[in-house]
Amino acid sequence: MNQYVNKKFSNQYKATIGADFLTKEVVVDDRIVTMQIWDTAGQERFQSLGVAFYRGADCCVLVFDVSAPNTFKSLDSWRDEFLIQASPRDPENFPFVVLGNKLDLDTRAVSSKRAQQWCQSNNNIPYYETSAKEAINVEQAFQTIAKNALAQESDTSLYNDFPDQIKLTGDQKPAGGDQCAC
Amino acid sequence: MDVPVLHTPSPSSSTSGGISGDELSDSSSSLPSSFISAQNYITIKEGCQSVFTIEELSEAVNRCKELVLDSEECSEERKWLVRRLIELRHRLQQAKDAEVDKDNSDTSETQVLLGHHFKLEYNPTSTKKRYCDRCCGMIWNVIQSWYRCADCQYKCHVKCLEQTSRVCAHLIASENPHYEPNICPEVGLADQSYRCYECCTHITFKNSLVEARLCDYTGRYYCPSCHWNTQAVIPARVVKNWDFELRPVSRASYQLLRHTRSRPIITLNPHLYNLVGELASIKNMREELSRMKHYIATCRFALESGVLMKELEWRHHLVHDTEVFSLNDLIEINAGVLVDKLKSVHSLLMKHIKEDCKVCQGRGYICEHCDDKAIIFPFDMSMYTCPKCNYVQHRVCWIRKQLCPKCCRKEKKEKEAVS
Repeated sequence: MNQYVNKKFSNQYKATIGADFLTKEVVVDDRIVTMQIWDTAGQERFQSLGVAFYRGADCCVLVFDVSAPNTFKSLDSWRDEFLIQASPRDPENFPFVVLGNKLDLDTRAVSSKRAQQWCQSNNNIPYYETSAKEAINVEQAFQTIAKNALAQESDTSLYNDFPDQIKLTGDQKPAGGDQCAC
Repeated sequence: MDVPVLHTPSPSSSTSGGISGDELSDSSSSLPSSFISAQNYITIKEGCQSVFTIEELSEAVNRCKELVLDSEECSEERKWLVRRLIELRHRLQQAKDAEVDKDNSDTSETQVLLGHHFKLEYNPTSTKKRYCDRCCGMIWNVIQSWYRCADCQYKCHVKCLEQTSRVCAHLIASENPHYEPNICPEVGLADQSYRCYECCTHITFKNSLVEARLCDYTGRYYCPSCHWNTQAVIPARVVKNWDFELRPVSRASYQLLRHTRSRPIITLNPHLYNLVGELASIKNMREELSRMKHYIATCRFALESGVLMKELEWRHHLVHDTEVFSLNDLIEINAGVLVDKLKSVHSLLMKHIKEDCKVCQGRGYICEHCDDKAIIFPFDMSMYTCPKCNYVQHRVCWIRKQLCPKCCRKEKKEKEAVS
């Protein structure tokens, strides 16, 4: 998230406490939209703070660490928890994006194929392999996130009168107790 | 003695001012007098730090260390020796710092005596009347300078410094961090052998100059020079009777009470919360504040502005622990000041979390039981926080369902994982 919005990456790992967000203006299909990207704490000890911001989200990004298989395994529970908390109108077709982060590390433990398979079996979720540190694929991933979120929004925007004032919320979730400093 | 010497008494020679084992065991009955008899261990008579070289101080530290090792374990003597060791090391550090940073050397001298840290003061323009705590005489600030303890505010003439016999209130408070729990535990003059509890002056009834004065805090009798009829609020009376009337106390008690006024060391009897209306609302507010603190302490915007954290730091014990009070708090509760102040902090934080801050709002909860979409927070008393998973729900919803949805999900998932 930091890499995407501020073009910065800090090697120092700072755990997200509770939740925080950054905003970024992006151009999607010739329209300027403001993206509000929330980053939620993955660690259990910070979960005494709530996740009310799930409600009203337009897209959910699940991030796991390609060098830590347990973070990949917990994607399921993160997705389920999100759907319950966010309670979107159409849970079946809610846009998710999966990111396999930390591509820069040599200790890869989750194969690209395995991740792809999981995404396909879950309603064809787009999958990107990224490195927040080296800024690999970050831009592309967020473009897709914005597009998918907007697509979701434009369905509903038929019913409201503010097509230019769309607020966009993506959810950045370091999966399963692991960090992600994107 | 013209040359200042770091006086470290050896326990074997009683002539040099050291204390023999007999004296120590005798004095164990009353705390203050044992302090006094042990004064040589904590008195650094010569004051001015620049007099000593680093070598001298290091040697004194080593000698003191040896004495500590020689002394009996857990004895009063060892306690005082350790204190002296700390003082000496502090001096050594100061001397070393002065060496490194010579331009900035602090020449203000501190005399260490019975735990006091006396600083010389001189203020000829002050119109405040000062009296010597030792001889009770006036300190003529126009022509005289005086010593004042930086910890307990004990004041005395320069000439009276050496005769000081009262142990610093700061030291007593750190030895025993609790107030006397009984209301005026009087033992009677006969039990005190008709002597002042502090200075042991003989008290008679013939002469009003040495009349007996009762200290309402310690319950002991004092002579007029140790008891100036200074008035203070008595903690035991507050805790037991919610009685804030000022009562005469001895100088030592007054200094102790003044020094510990703002220390959060009072835990109230739970029944008092029902009897004093304001206490209950203060308790609620403190609990809510301590939960709000989690939001403020982790909110980027709140930390950047700094205002809210500052509000929380104001008497931080009120928020850190919801049970303890300082004597000052109780006095302010009685005066009705504390409730207003807490209310203003409370509403300020509430406004930030619930209205102003997007991050804090995002960290709220939405009740899963009902259709209400409003964001709820754990610090609200009408909400229920699951003790297991911290999940927050409306209290009414929880009472109706009697189960936490998040815990149910967790259990289900665990079962699936097992099978």
